[in-house]
Amino acid sequence: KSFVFCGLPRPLFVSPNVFFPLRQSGLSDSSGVAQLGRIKRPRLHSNSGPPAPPSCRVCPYLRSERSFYGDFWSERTAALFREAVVCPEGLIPFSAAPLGARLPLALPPCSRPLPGSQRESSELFTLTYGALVTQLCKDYENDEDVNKQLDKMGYNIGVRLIEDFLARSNVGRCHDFRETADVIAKVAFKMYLGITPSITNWSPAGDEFSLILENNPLVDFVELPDNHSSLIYSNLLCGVLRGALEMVQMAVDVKFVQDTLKGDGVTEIRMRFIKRIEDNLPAGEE
Amino acid sequence: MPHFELSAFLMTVHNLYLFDRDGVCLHYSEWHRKKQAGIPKEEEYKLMYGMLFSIRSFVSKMSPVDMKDGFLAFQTSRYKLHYYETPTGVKVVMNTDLGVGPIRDVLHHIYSGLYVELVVKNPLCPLGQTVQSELFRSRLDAYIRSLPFFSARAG
Repeated sequence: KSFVFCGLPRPLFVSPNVFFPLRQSGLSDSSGVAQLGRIKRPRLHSNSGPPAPPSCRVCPYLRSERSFYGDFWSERTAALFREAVVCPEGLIPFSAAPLGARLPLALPPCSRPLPGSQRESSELFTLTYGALVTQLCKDYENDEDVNKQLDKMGYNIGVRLIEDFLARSNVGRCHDFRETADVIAKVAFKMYLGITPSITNWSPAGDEFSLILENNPLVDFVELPDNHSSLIYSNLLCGVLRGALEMVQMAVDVKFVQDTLKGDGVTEIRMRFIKRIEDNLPAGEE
Repeated sequence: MPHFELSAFLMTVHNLYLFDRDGVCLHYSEWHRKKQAGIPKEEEYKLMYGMLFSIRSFVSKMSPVDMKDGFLAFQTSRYKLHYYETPTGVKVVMNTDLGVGPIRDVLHHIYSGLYVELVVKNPLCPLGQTVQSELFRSRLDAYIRSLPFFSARAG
């Protein structure tokens, strides 16, 4: 992917709080009124002129552009940059920052270098996962134990992954299981594995559904040998989903019902809602 | 030429609490706090958390309209308490001066850019207990000090 450089001139920034103390300082208010010192620009259309810069959440180079565009940041221009576009300084690529969000004016500078291309890091990921499963098979003699370990590891990943997911995607609380299913398939899977499974087979009560994965990046070069026929190779995913949802108050049961490694046409993950986990009062409170 | 009393416009951040979903105080820092609570720190954290828990359920129960974000802030004649909560139950609480407007983005950045990046993503940092990471503490301090409404001279 090539660098995209926005050639638009920079806006002049005059901090309002120093010279106009009666005005509320800090971030622009939600009514979108232009602050004193900010130059008004015409609405930017995606089919005219250079595209708007990607809205990197932490890149100082782009921060001023983003907060400048603010209200004029259109859905379409943002959509153009949802793939791996990098900012000119080779800093963090576009992450799913919410449209129209006001970024804080003071942000620590980016220090992480960009990882290699998308393809290279996904191969490394697949190979790493394969090495992990192989090692587990050596450590535990039977497949059931390996499955349990994968689930446990996935759970530990999931409880942390959910925080990263919420931090990056800015998705709010889901109101029901259907919304949860949509967020998992369309946002979460896309963000972490680069695939978008489809949601099917809803149960009549609306508490069970299936995720159909056309291709599973974890199993890119994998064939299951005959002596591991009951191994659920991608069981880590089940643990991740279970752990992540438990942190947002949902107890779910996740399992594979079809697996391309076992000869099925697609990979199907069945998710079942068990119950809502209530907020705990801290110990000692009545 | 009118003479502005600059100290009247210097705003500041008093202190900051970070709680997790079980009420454990993950982090506390203060910058300008002129008056202490008069109780041990552990009790102060429990009091703060208990109050927030009660306010949250009160606000959602008594809301006359459909709730969107829930409890955001309260203010007294001297300070304002800002609140931000994630769906995972992580709560960021910041006490500032009255002049500070909505700072949801700032609190969100404390969560996403600091807590998630430096604590959650660090496998050596255990969750569910006070954050020991010195890096987190110093980055948080630097971030707060760089905020436009933080004035080192006030208070």
